[in-house]
Amino acid sequence: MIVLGTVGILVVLLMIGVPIVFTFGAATLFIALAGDYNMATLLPAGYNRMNNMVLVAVPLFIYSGALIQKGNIAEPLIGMAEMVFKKVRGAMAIVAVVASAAFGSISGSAAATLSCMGSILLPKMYKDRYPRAIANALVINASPLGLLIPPSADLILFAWIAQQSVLACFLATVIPGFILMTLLVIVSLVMLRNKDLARDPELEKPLTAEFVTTRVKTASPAMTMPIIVLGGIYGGFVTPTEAAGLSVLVAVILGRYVYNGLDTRAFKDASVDSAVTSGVFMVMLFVVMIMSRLFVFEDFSQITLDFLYSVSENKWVVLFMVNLLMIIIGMLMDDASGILISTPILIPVVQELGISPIHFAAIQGVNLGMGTITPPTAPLLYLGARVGKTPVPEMLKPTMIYIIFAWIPTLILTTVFPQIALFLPEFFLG
Amino acid sequence: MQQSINTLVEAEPVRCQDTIAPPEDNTENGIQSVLDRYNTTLDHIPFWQKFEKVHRFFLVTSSVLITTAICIASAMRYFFKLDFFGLEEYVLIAACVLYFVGAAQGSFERSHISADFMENFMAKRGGLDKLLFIQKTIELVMSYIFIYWGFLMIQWCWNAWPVTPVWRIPFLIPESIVCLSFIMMSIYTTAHYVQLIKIIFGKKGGAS
Repeated sequence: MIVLGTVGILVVLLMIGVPIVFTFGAATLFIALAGDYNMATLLPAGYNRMNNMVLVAVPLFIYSGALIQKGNIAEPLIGMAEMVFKKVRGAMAIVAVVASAAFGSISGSAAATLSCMGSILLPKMYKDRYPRAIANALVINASPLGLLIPPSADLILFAWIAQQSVLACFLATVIPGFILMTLLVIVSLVMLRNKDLARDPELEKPLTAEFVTTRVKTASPAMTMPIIVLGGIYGGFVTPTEAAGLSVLVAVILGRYVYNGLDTRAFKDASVDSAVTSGVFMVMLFVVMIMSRLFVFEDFSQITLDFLYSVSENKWVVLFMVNLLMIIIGMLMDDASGILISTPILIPVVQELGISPIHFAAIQGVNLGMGTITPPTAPLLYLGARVGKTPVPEMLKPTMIYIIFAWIPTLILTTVFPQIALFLPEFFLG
Repeated sequence: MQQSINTLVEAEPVRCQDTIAPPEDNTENGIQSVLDRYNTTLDHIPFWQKFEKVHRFFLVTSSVLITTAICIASAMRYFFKLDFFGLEEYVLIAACVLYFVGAAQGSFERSHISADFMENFMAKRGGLDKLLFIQKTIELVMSYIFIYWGFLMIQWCWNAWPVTPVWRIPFLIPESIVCLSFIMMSIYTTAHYVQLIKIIFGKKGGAS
């Protein structure tokens, strides 16, 4: 009864557009009242769980993403990537995928990635006569890549909620992330094969040593960022939280003194924007911590599992339903909120099915990413329509092509072949 | 982990967006104009601007403090093999300020994440005012329940008086910040609610 009531409250309030934090709050209130739990003891416990240094990495990565955006740090990298792929027809499609993956991994938000990358890449793509619908759909489809490419703020959250190693979760999603990137590029190049695309006149000419040197020189400082962050984490020099702190420091130095995009006002705006993004998210986390504790008391996971087993006892059918559930969650809310709500319920379920939580990190990443771009709800599709000023119906066909030929194959491969997710964690961490 | 979709679109950072020529048939813009009718922004009202200034001060300061502390600590550990024992207790208090003042600012600028597809649907089909009324009423009630929860936390802390292990900092400090944040969130939610009611039931209001 409590389970049904909770699910009912969550679904109804989400559907009518009540902010997710208050939706979670209402569900928590319902369970507490119906189950006669004492909130006075649950609330401090919820706060204690989020009072953790690992989680500080999340706002810092978001901060770093905001500084990259305001500090004009992304543009030189895009220019460099453009030059590297200049021989390829549809080079901007490759650039869009690579740039979205790189930015998304640091900013920790698919919506921020879409907003930033869309605003930089789409005018360029439209100017180069890329069909509006394909270009916009591609940028939308590439924006959730940050869920899969480390260092991902979403994965830090997942690891923390699921009580798993952050590094193992980072490594689990690398191969699925690269599979998805490759498929998005292939699908784009196939769709663009007969289109009359223009190119940057600068890139049309044969490359001169001077031109290459200038672009490499401009992009080199920006390239130190991923080296410091990823090298620091995987070299064992710094923790993810320290790497996040260093990424903020490097972004400030580059944005202020190298690329001159970060004046005092831009710095303050980036600080406030990222703090609001983090705050909105952390207050949700606070409520979810209490709610997930109540889920444990009420044995939600076992009830969910019993329900799934009542439909079928076949592991693959149950896993298919779990995937479907996550896609639906992804369709209703953003990536991070999806992780917050689904992880506490589904981790015990998948463990019961014999699936490693590290493998599940990859499955969940692909599922939630796909949910955010899957019509009819598709929050990122609507955001992308506004950023790129292209009507949603126009983008539906290319979006469905990306989902069918890039997202679904990645999801199937990640789900069916656990080694895709587990190879790197086992190789590096044993 | 992200701003609401509406806020991202309304925000300035979209540098090159001006260069994107709008397509001829853009139904999204039509929906947006209906949604804009119910806009309840507070940042243009001088009284509320003061609150925003205070938030901005705390948000910038806490962000800088956290980054500086973490960078100095990691540099000292790496280069000089020195460990700032207990530094994280202070960093976590600054993080608490960042999280919860950020959440209050989120309520101020209506950035809390929500699924807005129903709003889009109602903007097209009609009945948006009823939907927003129900939505915001639930939001308002929940925001006051959050205040009650905040006081419960403080009451518990006062009685149990937990402190941090190294510097013996009372947990009452961060938990008071949480409670204060909930109070601020309710104040802003109420202000938005009052504005919405004026729009829906006042002369300016126009049902979709």
